[in-house]
Amino acid sequence: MPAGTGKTHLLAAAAAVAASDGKRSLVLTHTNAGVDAIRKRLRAFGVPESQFRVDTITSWAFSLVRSYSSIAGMSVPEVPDWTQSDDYLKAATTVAGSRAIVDVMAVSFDYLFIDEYQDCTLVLHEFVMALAAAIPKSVILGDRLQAIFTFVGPMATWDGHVLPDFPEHVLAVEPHRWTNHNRDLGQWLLDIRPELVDGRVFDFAAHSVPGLSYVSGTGPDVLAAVAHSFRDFDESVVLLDKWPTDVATHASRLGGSFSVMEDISGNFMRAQLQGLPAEGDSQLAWWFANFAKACVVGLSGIDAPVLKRLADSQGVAHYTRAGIEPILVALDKLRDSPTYAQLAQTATDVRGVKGLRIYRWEAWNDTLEAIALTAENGDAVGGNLARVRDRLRRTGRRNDNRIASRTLLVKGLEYDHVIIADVSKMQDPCNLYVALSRARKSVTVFGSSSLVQLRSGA
Amino acid sequence: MRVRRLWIENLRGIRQLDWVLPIEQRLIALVGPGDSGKSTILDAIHYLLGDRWSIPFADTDFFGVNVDDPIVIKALLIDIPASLRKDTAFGLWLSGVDQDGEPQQDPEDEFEPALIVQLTVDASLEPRWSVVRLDGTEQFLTSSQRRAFSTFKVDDRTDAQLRWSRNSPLGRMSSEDGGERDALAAASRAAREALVDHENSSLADLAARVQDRTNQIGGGSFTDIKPGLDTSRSAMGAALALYEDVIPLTSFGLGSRRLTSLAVQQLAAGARSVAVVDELESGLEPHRAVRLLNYLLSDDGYSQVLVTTHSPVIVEQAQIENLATVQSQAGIVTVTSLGDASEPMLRVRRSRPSSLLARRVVVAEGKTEHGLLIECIEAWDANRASMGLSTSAGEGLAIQDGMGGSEVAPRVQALADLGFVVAGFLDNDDRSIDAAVGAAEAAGAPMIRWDHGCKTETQICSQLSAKGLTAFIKLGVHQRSSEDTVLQDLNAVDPSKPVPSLDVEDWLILNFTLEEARDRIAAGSVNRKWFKEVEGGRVLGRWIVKNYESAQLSATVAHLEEVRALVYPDDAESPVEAGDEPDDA
Repeated sequence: MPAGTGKTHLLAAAAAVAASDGKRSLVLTHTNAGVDAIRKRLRAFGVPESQFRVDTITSWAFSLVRSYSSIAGMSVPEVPDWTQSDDYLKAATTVAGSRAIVDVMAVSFDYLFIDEYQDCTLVLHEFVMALAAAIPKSVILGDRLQAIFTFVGPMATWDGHVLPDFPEHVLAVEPHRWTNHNRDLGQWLLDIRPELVDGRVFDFAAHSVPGLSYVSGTGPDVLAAVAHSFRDFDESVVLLDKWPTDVATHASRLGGSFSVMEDISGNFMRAQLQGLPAEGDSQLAWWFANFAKACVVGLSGIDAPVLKRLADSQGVAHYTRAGIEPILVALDKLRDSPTYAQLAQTATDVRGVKGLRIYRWEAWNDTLEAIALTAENGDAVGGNLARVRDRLRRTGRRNDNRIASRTLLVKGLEYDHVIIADVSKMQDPCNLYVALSRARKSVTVFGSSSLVQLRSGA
Repeated sequence: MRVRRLWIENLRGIRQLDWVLPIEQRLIALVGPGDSGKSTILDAIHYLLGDRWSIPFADTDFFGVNVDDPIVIKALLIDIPASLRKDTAFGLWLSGVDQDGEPQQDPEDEFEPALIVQLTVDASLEPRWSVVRLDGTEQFLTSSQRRAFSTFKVDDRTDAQLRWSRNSPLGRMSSEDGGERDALAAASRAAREALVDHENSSLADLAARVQDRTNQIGGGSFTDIKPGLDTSRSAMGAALALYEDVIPLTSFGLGSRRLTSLAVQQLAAGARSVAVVDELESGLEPHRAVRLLNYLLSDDGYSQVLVTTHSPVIVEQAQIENLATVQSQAGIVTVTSLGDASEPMLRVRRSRPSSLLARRVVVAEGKTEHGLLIECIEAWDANRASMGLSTSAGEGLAIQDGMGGSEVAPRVQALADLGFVVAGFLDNDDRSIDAAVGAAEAAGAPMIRWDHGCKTETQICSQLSAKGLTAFIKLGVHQRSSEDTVLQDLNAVDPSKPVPSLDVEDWLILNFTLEEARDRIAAGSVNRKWFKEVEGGRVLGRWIVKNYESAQLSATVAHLEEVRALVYPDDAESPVEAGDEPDDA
């Protein structure tokens, strides 16, 4: 089913019907955001908690492996290491195929629902097939045009793997998501689907629909003009580009009004924390200065000479840097007493300085929380970051109304307004469709040309 | 659901128990001497699997009243109910069990899925139920989850099961349709309105089902079981209870109450329940007990029934596969199924079922020796009782007639193998059984035999003087009821050399030596079976007891003293009063 046509609604409604017959459903999807959305919908339908279990495919796989590691043939830590997902899935496939667990599935569930099936790798698919063999009835939902993924390894193909076991069931669709926002835009997004295929050229100039604007150019000034034109702060805006560095650059140039969305595993923070000096090392001030520059707009005063002196463990408070002198003093303090507690204090000082704006809020908060945890429990800071980020998997993202992100990270999310920073980088039809279909009210597309040469996987 | 294996630590008289249950049997009857831990085993199962919210443990529930060593009751369960196999219950907490009853971490395909449940009680006396796995992980187990084990116990506290209350089985069954509240409200209204009759149909239906089931299992012939208002416990307010016509079932005899309680609890627990019945025969006439046994053996409503019994009738009527003996060695309790028992063991049970209920068993050669021992033991008991010591009954003694010398050693060995304290008491004139006797001795069982070459009569006669022999002949006259017959008996041994009279002094004056006289009398008494019944043995026994201190019986008595040492392990020398010379009693 296409985006915005009520897939989650349909899934929840199906589970609700099953529940009213006293049947219990296992609902699996790929992301925690998806889990959250489905759970909310089920609650809204008044389905009793006892009648469903919603989880991500990999974390359900992890639960099985964790419980039955002898059958799985692998032992796993208490906190999952998601880089091992494929191993978990393969082991869980073995577990799900064992007689006792087939029985557990059969007595526990009457229906199996898998959402976002277009994102299934072959490994995931094998696991799902093992579950489907145990649970009496299985339904999978998906949209081939939204198949963009971070998963590695070969994907389950619609024709080769999925259709032989799950006969296709096509539904008449309505653009429900746009009903109270911009129904024309919703209909247009349905209408263009046949055109979004490999090899074709899509011309934005050839389309005219309320809410869709094409802006020639990709410079920072035109971008900023549009980005700052959304005055209603109750409405959400997302700025999309392809690469992480582009996204950060946009956010920085927009002066902190847009906050960077980090990927789930927190690669940016991980890279930062890899260089974190131990407590007692006066280099801590140097590290923090670099980290702050990567997250905050307005720290250009912390320039090469300042960083050089900090790297050499020399004082910087005597430098004249208009507006950020308090920060230089704080950095000196941190150099004198290089503890994580002092680092936290320095961070608080930074937030207190007028004119400074943090544009990587998520990275800023989570990195500092990981360091604080390490000061508290003495564990490696990398592990603590994993713990902090794991919470995100469970509780979902906080709602920021101005976000800079990549298409991949906003899959399944909705925004009032979408800005595509450079459409020439969105050649992959799926990537383009996902980016466009995030918008409820308007899409603004920037590009040096209105023509996009569509190429799958580009 | 069924219990596959049970472990107990530090519960009352049990310091340690590890029992792999014979899984092909639905009913297991635990037998064994008193205080061996049978009832504690049943309590343990009920504590662990019953649905009581909490259990009031006391210091005295700990082995040796030592609260430092926690009570641990643990069971490996198979055929786990579906509600507990769900992912939200213990679907991700399953273990496995192999063919030998060994637990396994995971329910791999070659194992049977199992659940390990555990109840621990430490010095705080707070019971703690959980599901555990071999890797040490543990998950709390609620009382409502325990209800799915469908395990209940029938004991003498039956009244609660015969009333409707919030937690009683009747109350639970009725609460499904709210019938109890309706009926109670109606009943109190009825009471107010001068006891106008009221019949609530759902309660009446339930009562009718209880009646059917109770009659079926041998409870008797109830014809009009119905709910009624029980005001007998006025302090607790009126309650609904089962009535037969106008008599509350709580006023019936113990046996009927227990049977009705069994029926009610089984109905509430549902199919595939586990029943635990302490003293199956309690309050029941033997025929009702046997009927109950057969019902439990055949009813598909139960997946496992564990009972204890002290009734020889039950031991005799049960299939040997259903019996298991319980033995305790300083708190180390062993349960042995008789399902794989040897052929001699089967014969032990047939000829003397009560042997399986005894703590000590003496297998005697035959009826003569059996009778002889009975008399001796009565005398020893009387003597000990007068000194304030325990009697043979208190020591849990059973004497079994071995039905012949060749049978004694195999039976002794079979009992010894099951952990019984057992001894043989037999003749010493048949060399063909020496090897078997040696084997039994090697297995640790004392084999008490007369002097080499002797059977009972020859042993007794071997030291008698002429006067003693004359007295012995008088016993024969008493048995044969005629002096002429006895004379014929003696002469038939060697017609070429007839004896002159029944007074052996006369024989010596003529041409007999004392040795010849002893041989002749022993042979005559054996050949013509003077003492070959239990009663004959008792006659001999009474005579020996009377002359216990006589030097003429010292060799005989020496062997009997060996028996006595076994019957009363705490016994010091406690001579039986008697005269010097064998008299003519």
